[in-house]
Amino acid sequence: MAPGAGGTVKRDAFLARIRQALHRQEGDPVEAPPAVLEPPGKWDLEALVSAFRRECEAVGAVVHEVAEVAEAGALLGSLLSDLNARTFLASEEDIVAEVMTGLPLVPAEVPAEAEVGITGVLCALADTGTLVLSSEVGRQASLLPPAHVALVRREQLLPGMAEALARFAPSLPSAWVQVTGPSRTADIELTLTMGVHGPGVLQVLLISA
Amino acid sequence: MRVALFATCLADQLFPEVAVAAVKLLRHLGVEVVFPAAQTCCGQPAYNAGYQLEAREIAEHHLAVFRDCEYVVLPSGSCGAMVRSHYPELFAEAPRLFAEARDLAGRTFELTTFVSEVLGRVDIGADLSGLRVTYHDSCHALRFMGVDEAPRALLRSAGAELVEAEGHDVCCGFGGLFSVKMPEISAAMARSKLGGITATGVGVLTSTDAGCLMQLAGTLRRQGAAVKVRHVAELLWEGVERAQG
Amino acid sequence: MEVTTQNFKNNVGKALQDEQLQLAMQRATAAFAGKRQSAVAGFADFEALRSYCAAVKAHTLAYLDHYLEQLTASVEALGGTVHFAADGAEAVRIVTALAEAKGVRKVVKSKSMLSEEIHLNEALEAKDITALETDLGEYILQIDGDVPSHIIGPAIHKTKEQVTRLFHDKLGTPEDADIPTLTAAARRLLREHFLTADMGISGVNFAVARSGTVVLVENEGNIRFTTSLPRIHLAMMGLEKIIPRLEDLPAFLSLLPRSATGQKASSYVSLITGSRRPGEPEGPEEFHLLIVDNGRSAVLADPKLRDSLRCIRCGACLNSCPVYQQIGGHAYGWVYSGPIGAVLDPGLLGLEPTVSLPQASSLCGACGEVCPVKIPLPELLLEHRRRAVERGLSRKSEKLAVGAFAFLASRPGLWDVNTRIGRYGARLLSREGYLAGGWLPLLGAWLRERDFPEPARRSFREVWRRELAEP
Repeated sequence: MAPGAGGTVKRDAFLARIRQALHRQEGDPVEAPPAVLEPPGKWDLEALVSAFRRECEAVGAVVHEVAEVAEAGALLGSLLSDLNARTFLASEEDIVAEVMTGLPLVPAEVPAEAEVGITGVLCALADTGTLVLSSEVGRQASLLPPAHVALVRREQLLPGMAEALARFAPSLPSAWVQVTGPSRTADIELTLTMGVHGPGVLQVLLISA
Repeated sequence: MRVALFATCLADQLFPEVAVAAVKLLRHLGVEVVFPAAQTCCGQPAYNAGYQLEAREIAEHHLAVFRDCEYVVLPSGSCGAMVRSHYPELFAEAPRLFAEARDLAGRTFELTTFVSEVLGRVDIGADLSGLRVTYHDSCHALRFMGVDEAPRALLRSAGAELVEAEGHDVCCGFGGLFSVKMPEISAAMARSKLGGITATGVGVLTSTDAGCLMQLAGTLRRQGAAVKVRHVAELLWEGVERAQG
Repeated sequence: MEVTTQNFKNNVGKALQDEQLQLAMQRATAAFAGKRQSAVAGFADFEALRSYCAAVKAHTLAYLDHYLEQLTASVEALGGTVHFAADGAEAVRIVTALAEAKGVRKVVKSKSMLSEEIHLNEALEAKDITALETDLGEYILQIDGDVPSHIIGPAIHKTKEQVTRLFHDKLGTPEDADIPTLTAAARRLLREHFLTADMGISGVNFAVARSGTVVLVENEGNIRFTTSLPRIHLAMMGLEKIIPRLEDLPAFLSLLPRSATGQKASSYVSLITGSRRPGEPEGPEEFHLLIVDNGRSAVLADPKLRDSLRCIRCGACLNSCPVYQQIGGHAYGWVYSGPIGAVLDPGLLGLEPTVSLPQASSLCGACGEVCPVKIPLPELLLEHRRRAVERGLSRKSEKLAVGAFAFLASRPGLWDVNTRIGRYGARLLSREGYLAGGWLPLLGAWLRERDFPEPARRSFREVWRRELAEP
């Protein structure tokens, strides 16, 4: 939506005030920004897996390693019966459909009342135990229900955000969300409480194949 | 080796025993000590309150007084920080004075750092065995003069038991004129600080700065507490006297 | 938020008497500072990151016009709309006009200190538009009619008992509800609002010029709700929130949570680049970015104060400040408190109404040590003090006293005589080795809170002359 004429006038006045503050003229050259700091070290996959697991657990996310999709499906089934969850929200991803095949789950009629959300990930970051979720496949499944199960393939593990951006930027979705552990707050007397608005339970299924 | 003693206005006028101890300590370590009598104050109270012109006036005098001394040693971290960190800034627009300020900054040393780093002495022949003491890190000494290990090492080497207080590096609330411009906040900071100090159970509190000690001692007395307050120069000299019998 | 910076002395007096506040502040700042300490100690490259982020921010501010243009072009290329507001009044006009044009009846808000600066909630309510805070701390304050006291934990000045009573009165929760119960009640209630709101208004932690991305950092999830469920997302930012490239983000996102709460990463970091794309199943239909000046360009123009615009709102300086720990955030009288508040408020509001704030410091230097973007906070506090003196804002009596002191201190003969007289006079006030004299200037202020020892009979220079001088 292009600005109206009034909008352009305001914008020009705004920028003029900035230029005046900086003693710059329109079109003045700009120095290059400082060189980006390189992230430290190179990691191998095993190191990535163990770091990812350790960091997830440090923030209260549970990681289960499974060899392949069928095993993931069985594990998901038992996790959900532990959580007593039958109604679900899911992101629109092949891996989710695959893993959920044959499970006794019912799509939630009212999204806000779904008992569990199941998604894949765009990638996962080992240095902080972070899942990167893309709005391309939806936003609500990882946000509304009280429990979130994320399906991660080993090959989706990356060392950190710098590597993730290098792989996927500049074509970003409308929302790229980095999820590290469950939702939490310490706003009342610094007492930690999980599951304020986002899910209070986060389970990660890490699939080798 | 000869050093000029910068007594600091607080020690000169209110706590002479601190400067006396400093002189005796240095002489005991084989250093010749002179006292340029024209010295007055480093100008820090004026500077920290934003009075740049007045601070410059005082600083110019201070530069002249200590111009020809190879080493300037003082029983204070905050006055030293004033000379080292702020004198060059004060004279940034006056090339000759700036050069003098830089020069003086390079020759000015807090006492315990001078002893341990310039004289290279940690064992100074003092006996403080049986003394249980806690050390307060004066903000300017710590953050601007790098005074951290030196006083602790000297005390320990004399056999004192050093008990670290919680919040030992948190400001005592003195801050020069701040203590009288915002006395309620200053006092609240002192009381918090003393909570950590009295919790150590030691009988003696020490530091490198008379301003901090004045603040903490004054508050302790108002509380009716039994903790004694001594400048580190005084403690070390007493240790030397004791060792000498 | 109303400006009450001119009432600093009164505000402080009240704060120091408030025992509950004292307890809450000590607990909160110690916890935050301790967590930050551990997080930093365990992180090898912290100093390198600080230098890098400080340099990136300084660079961006130096070329801010260019980056603002780049940001605008990037957002517009995605179909978003960029609005510019010179001041708070203009910003409020823009938001309310937009809301009215789009038929907005309800707004959900995530934490934005800028929105506090411009009194946005009140303006929306005046147009019959419900505006709800969704960050738990901010929500508590909203239903209590209170204002934030800390950048990261806005309600840390409240005890659990206060919150329990508040929720019982306003939401009908049980009188003995525990914290999980209170939190669950807030979750249920706010969820209803998330689902029925027409517009979500968020702040901005970082705005990436090259990609048109706004970055939002949180632990609760309310920002994800605010920026995903309503059909319109409006992000509002101060003009200094820009960074040049996406590649700069990992460094800033390493520094911010560690400095703020000691976390390696916050629970949720959202990179929002425009509104819902064709093919995406969910998300807002419209994205608006509101860029606000409100005094920042004046700070930008000031070569000494400009560095204060690097601030990434982590709160580390507050947690390290022994003054803030004693008086809490409300005493500062405006949105920004602690050391950054004492530096920024005079810059944004002018020095006259805020002149007490930079005086409320012993210049201990702790804040400068912890600032992740190396803002020279102690130096800037001192700069404000210098300006107060130069502009004649200091008390006449103080100026006279300092002038007299400087006069004497540069004339050793006079110094000698006057200090002798002073010490002699002081000893007249002495009772049992300590001074009385609460009616005197300076000494009186000291004596209100502490004892002052009588000066020694002989000054050091006299002792030297008589006993220590060697021939």
